[in-house]
Amino acid sequence: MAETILKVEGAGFSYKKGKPLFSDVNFELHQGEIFTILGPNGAGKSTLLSCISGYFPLSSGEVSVGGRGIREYSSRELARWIGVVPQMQAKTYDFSVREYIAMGRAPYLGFGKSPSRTDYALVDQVMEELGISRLADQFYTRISGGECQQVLIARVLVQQSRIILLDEPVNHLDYGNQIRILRLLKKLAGRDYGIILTTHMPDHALMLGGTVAVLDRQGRLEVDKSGRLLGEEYLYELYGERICRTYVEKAGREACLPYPLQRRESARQTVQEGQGDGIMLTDAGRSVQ
Amino acid sequence: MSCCAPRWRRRLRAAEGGAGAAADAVEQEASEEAGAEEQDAQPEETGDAGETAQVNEVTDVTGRQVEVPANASHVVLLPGPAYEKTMILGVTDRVGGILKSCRTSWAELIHPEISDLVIFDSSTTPNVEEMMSLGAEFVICHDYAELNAQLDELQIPYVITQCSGELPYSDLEGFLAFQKTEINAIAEAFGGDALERAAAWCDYFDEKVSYVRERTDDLTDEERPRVYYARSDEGLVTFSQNSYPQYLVEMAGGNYVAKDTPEEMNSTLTIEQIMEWDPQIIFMGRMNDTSIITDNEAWSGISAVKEGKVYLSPSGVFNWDYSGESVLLMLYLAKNIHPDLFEDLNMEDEIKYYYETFYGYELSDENVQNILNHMDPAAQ
Amino acid sequence: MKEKRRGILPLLAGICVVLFCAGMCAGRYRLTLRELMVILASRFADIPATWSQNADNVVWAVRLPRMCGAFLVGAALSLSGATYQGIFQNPLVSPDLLGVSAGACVGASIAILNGWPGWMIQLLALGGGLLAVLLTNLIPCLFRNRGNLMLVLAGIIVSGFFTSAQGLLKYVADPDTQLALITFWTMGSLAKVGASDVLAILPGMVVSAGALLCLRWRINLLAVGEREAHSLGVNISRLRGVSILCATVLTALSICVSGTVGWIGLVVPHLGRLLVGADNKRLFPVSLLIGASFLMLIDTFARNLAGSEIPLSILTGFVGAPAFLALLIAQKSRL
Repeated sequence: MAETILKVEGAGFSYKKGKPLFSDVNFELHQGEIFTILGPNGAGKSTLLSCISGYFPLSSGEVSVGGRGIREYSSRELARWIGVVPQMQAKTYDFSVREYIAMGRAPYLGFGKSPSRTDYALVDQVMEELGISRLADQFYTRISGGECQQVLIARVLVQQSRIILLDEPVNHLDYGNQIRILRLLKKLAGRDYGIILTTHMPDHALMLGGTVAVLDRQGRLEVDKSGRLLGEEYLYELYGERICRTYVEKAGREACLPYPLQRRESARQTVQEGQGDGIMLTDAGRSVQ
Repeated sequence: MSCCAPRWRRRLRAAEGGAGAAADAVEQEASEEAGAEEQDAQPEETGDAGETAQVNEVTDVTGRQVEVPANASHVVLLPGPAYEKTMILGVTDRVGGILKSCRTSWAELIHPEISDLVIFDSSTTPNVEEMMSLGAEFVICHDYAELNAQLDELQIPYVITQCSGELPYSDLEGFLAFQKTEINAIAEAFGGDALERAAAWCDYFDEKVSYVRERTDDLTDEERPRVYYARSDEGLVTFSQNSYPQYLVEMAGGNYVAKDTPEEMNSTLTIEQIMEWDPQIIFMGRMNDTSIITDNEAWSGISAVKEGKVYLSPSGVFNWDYSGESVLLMLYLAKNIHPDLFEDLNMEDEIKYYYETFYGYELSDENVQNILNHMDPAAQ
Repeated sequence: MKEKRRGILPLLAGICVVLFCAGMCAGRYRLTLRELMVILASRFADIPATWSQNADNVVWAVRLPRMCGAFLVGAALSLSGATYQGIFQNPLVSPDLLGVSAGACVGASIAILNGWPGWMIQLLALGGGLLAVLLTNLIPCLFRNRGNLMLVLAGIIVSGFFTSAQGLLKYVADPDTQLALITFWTMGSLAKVGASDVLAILPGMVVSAGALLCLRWRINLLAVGEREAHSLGVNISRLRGVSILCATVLTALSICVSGTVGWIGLVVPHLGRLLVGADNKRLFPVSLLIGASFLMLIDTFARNLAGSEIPLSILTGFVGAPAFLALLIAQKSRL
């Protein structure tokens, strides 16, 4: 088993006067592991990530990295362990992409220092790797959403933290970019980064492999041990919609798919019938290309 | 002074003696007497208060004809140099409210009751409700159009004795006439003895002006040293064109360097401009510390500073550079600009004489020194 | 594009030097360029004095301190403006809009009214400025809303309050001695800057400006948002605290010598951003030079256009307001 790099024990959080958003959250993250957190809107996924990164203090419990509680680290030391890819948001100032990525070097620079040639060399190298060198001198306020997500990931790579937290990294991206970003994450896991991300798409969790967890409306985090969480029954419970979990032969992988929007009583039947035919139909009762 | 009592003394005595026979004696001397009728009318007035209220007719400095109630006892004074005029005219007991800056430490020394008067904070936008609740019968004020319109609306008569913006004079003769028009307008408004007292002051003023001018009028340009009169604010603010100090300095035989600076009252100069003028004598108004200029390196090359000719401008019941006491400032300037021409002039005596004659107050030697040094009466 | 921008810093430095020299030559006191040079050189070489003491004073006691004052104040205001805009992630703020100027003015006025010495004036100006920026910062917290608009509104509230306090102090001030002094504070003027004033503010300004220049890359991190800054290992409260302190010291010290000079802190960083982009590494030095040049130019006009002094805020407003509009159009800024 790979080394455990992050541990969350009994974590709970509540805003000042509110009821707890989540409580008694426990899980571990290993080197090279992708940990995907699913859950409905408002369940507190983003807040949980913020707590793990130390931005919000936990109300109870503890997060530890490298065997020590995160509160024992200075903010700079912690940033060398944990990097964050935030949700995309409005940007105020026109920084160039290169300059923006170079900000990832902050945890390694003294209070009054700015990045050196070596730091910029690393920035250039990472941009090269991700194939975004052409963006270097553009304003990061004027690039597309997909490019922006790549830039954010480039920054976290420059940060050289062993753990990467991503808050809904494929939100607002077009389909192609969604797939490209997921592929990039998979690749990074292969390079021994520990990755925690939140997503609304159970299918993405399936594609990424790794560990799946669900933060439900009651604020409980259940880590999938038996594969139950991506089962049809649980997904129905979670989203209030029937979702089909099946193996798609042509794609060569397990997939989670919604049923047709206009549900017919016969949907399931059609599936049964269709299986024998040459027509490629899935459990969801619609054709998959 | 002279062997026989000067004209203004006789007039004052006449005024004090009441409107009796003494008044007739003076009448011959008075060339223009507008107030004579009122004086005669006065005794009757006490008899029939009521329907036909007595009025005083006033021609103010702008030439307006105004009727104000006679025997007013709650008059509001808004120009700075107005309370001082009522002191000269002996009518301070008929004043109800004054501008804040009228209440100087010297006015308070001579008339402690000034502290009981209603204070108005602004001469441009005074609190008119306060004025009405005070029961002001009339107001002495500037020619501020908005204030005048407001008073018109409230039907409070007003007498204009000071002008902002366009001044009614633009040369020395006009300035001198204005000084007398101002005090006469106030005197006409108050009526009675005030007229005689105003006339007495005007006589004194005329005499002092001719005393100085007799000796300085013939000075050539070369004999007139360049004079800079600093108003305040580290010496960089001055009185400019058409200002009291310009005429006073010119009468006193100086060349007023700021005479071509356009803004009327407050002009902020660059130190370089003053260096360019290179004044030979500097007077500092409204400040009591010459070191503001003499200790400042930037001023150190200016002739007046090098020759130690930086003087304070004294201050008494009101600023000498903007009041009836400007006649004393003229003497003071003359004495300091041309000490050789005015050897016979003793400033201390002049001040004592003026205060005794017009305010009825006997100054101590210490008082006189404090006035000369722009200090409060209490200063040591 | 990139190559062209490289040359901008030396170019601005050059403009700065030219304006400084031009300002030294211009003035109501007539002085030829040759006289000026000789007088300047006389302090370093043994040249027999053939000029008047006034001429010497014009150069050494009047123009040189005044130009230095203009340089320092212009540089300080634009640098603090750029800093505030960075740390509040808000291109609409400036020392004036945050209430810092008004607060510093009130502090200084209180010291003047009490007749306290110069260093107390500086200290109280700083105190007033810090109080104002603190209040402006607290109001958005009250509403849990850190948006651009909220901060600007908070600034309006705070500076409005301090402007009134300033009005009250004017109201009670002695019209002939203190009032002129306080009025000068609200309109801005370098008329009274002497060598001693420049020397008094110099250490504080150099230290604060130096600190901000060292931190300028780090202030970039605050400019992208608090959450991101945290994830990059920035000690936000420390960085923000130090930056606000330095920027406020710069503003307060400027106010001590020149009174409030509007617009510079707002407009100059925008102009800088148009020239070199948002990266503070280049924006800070560029803003500093533009601000210094701008105020030297404005002040040269202020003391030469008329025989009397023109308050600086009148001129900076006439130039600054249309310039700001032009910049907004040029940037097509989404605010």
